[in-house]
Amino acid sequence: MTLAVDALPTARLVRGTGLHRVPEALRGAMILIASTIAALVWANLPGAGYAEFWHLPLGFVLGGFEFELDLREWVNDAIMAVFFAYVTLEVRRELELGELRDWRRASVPVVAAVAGLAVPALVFVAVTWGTDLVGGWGIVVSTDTAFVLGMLALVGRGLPPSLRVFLVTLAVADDVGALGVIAVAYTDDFTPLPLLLAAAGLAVIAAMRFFRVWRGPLYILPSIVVWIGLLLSGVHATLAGVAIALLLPIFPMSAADLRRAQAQVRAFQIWPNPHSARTAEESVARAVSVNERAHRALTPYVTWLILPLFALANAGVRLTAESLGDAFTSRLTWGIITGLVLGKIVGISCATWIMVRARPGALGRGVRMSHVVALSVLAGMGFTISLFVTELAFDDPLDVSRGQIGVLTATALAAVLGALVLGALGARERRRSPDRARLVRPMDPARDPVIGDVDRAVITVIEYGDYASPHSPDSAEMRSEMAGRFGGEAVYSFRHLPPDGPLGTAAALANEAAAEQGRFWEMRDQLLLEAPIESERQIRRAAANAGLNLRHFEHDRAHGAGAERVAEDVADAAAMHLEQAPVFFIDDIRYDGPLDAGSLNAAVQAAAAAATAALTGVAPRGRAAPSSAINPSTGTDARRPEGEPQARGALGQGVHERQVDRPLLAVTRYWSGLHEGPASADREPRRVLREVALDAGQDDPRYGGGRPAPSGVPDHERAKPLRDTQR
Amino acid sequence: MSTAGFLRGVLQDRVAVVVGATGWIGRAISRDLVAAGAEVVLVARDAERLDALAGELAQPERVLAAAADVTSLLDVDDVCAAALERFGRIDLVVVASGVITGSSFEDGVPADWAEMIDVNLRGLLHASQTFADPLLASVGRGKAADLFLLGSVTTDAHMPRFAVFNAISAAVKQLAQTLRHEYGRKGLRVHLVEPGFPPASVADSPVRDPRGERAHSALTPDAISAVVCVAAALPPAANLAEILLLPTAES
Repeated sequence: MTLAVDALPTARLVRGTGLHRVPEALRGAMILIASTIAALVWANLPGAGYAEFWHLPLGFVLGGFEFELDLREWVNDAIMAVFFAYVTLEVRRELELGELRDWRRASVPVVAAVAGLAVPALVFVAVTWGTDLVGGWGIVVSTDTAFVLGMLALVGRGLPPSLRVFLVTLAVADDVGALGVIAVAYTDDFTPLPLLLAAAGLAVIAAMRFFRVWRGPLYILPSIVVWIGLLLSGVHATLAGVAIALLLPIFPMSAADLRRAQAQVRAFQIWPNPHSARTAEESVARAVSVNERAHRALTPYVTWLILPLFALANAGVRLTAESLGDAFTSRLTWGIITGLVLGKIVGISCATWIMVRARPGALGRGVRMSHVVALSVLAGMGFTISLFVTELAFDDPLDVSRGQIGVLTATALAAVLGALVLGALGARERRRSPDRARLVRPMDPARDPVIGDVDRAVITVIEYGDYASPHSPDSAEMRSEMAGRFGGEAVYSFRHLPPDGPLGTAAALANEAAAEQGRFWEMRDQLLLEAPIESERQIRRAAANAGLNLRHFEHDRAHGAGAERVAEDVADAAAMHLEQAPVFFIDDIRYDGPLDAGSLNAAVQAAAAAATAALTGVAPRGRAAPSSAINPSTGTDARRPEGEPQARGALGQGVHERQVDRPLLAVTRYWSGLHEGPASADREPRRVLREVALDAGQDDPRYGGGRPAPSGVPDHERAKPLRDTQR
Repeated sequence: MSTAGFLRGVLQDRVAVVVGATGWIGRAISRDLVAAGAEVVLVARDAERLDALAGELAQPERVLAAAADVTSLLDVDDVCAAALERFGRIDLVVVASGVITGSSFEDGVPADWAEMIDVNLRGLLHASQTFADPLLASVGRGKAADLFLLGSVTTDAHMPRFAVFNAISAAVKQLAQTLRHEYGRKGLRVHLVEPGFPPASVADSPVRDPRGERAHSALTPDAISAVVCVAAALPPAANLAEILLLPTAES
């Protein structure tokens, strides 16, 4: 099934909440832990191998010019510049496309992040007051994004997904603060002249951007120039990464760019040659912003190389009875531990509490204060930037060692406490609503438009979606998938999970208004062609192209046709904590695998096979008894084995009436209209109802707006056109 | 100017829409409607020719040119909205858009059929349905309202070798009769004009007129536009419903 091909990158582009990173974040956190342990083991081996290794000088001599850094400096000053560039790319993306764009939504996590920077610093200052250790306050300001996201992925199951959005926003705002702290508070020996060199490098990069140079490697040389300039000036060299990343623009994919790319790829397909290959490659690359391409290119390096290397170079503290005893009696260590653990809890929780008091409902859907408190415990994991600042803040190896022990202790403490609290919270929520991953409203052909044959289908696939993904298959594709690939075993339906903003809901309502004319899927196809929906005119064009009666369409929209279904869908989605379209339910169980076509197909096929096995009497292995095809109105199970025909009929009836035998239905309705008065079913396609209404001498004001009732025409004459349909 | 000089001013205070205004017949109708005193919305696909026509008519305050493809429901809807915005109402609509291709049936090109069905039938349906709303609204304000559908004589004697075109013309004739019933009782007059020659912009596409019939035709568009003006000027209670217009000397 080609459901939502590429929905993932698109979803990321559209909302950029960072949710996609979660499984990777978990992996990243584990690698980070592994390399931290490796560093600790290595540093505590007999001999001074660890310290000696990281102090090995590396550099070059060019004539009279000599350049040399030791290995740890190479890691912390050079390689970490890439990490900071990576973080900046994320910040910029969130600012322009993600949560931070909308201040109303971002305000709570941002204010919480600011308090989460300030309160720990104050706690640290209070603990170390009166000593010259006060300058280490920067150690406790920042939360390690990679670690907290990983921990949340590990223990946050069952918690609302908007909590993750909250955390990403918080972490990003926190990173901005930390970058600022490093730039302002930890820059020494400032010499302005080399900054000109850095400025020149930045100017070259800006010019390359202006002339749309799209080949990444060409940016490396000027980037190195910027880095050297900053290094020589005394401003922390890693800020080169920040400056460069800020120059890389980000923009949402434009339909025009995508079409151009598609055309070029097509041209390459038709006539493959080096030139068309290059053109195609270029147009495809250009469709995605440099920011996102850079982010994607850097991700594996940051996860697998840079952060582990940093941990390896910085986390290796000698843990002897002596050093531990010294650390745990020093105010520095305790300042860091109390700052990170207590300060983060107090800062984030209190700020959020105050914000929520002032603006109720400002937290995301389903997020409660208890979630935020649990999160604030986790936020005490300072790790990367804390270790980084420790190196910057202190020269005395003893202080550095105390600081490192403090950071490692605080991080471990916050991780354990946070995991316990979050785990308990998640377990409690799972106990409270064990069916979170279950669909709350089974597919009901009387309310849900379907593709496929409900009569024959053994499983249901329901999508909660919007019209944002330009790659969704149209209904014709879907029909052929349902009939071809799944041999009629699956039936598909679409429910609304509109994005925020008036047009998202307007598009969903327009789709429902079209259903009044029996054109749900045609309208959905046209809306997808128009996607993303950015203007009312697109909706109107979709309606015209779907072949709707525009007057009735507008009338139905104005009178809220189908608003009930949209509202129900949105409420159901909120109850199930669905955040971001598309979400699929296969046989009423939420599908949480990857959204590419192959994975979805496999999941549907597996579910279909299991359901078929259940039908034919073979016991399904390790799988709950399928229950999706239960029609709530009748309570019958459409998937009972053969020999209980009544059960299957219950669902099948609905589909026949809605899709297959419409002309017949018109006739049936007509006769029943004559004998039993006006037709009663509200959700039948309107044109059928209209015929009935007209020919039974009724005039429904909903449809014509005060059409005078036909008078003086004998019944048999009015009945004529419909009788013809019987032939 | 017009052969129908006697009609000057009879359509004062009417707002007319001519769909297919730049066609052979549409031009004549547009010109005579303006001469008869109506405010006229010219609708055609080709914006350039539309502007040229509007320029010829030289009545900018009474003429609105609106480019639209009649096969696009949205286009037609847009034109309707633009006309209402400019003149506030619509009480006379002439659907004179159409294409024509002819050959013996066995030599016919299916794509030509599709185009004819699209423009001559589907486009006519779009226009009729879309403009019916403002026309009925005019009736509601106590004004006369007219919908003219341009058909064609469908007998083989006048149009041999135009099997598909004739079939569509028959459909239009049937449609006009049904619409007359449906709208007549609401006070909207539906007229069908059936000239004995192709009612489309054949003049501009000689290739599509293999026998060059029209060149020899005794009928001119002036006759049709005169008939349209006369029918629209009649008292509202009377409907000159079907108008069969033939050359006096039938071949």
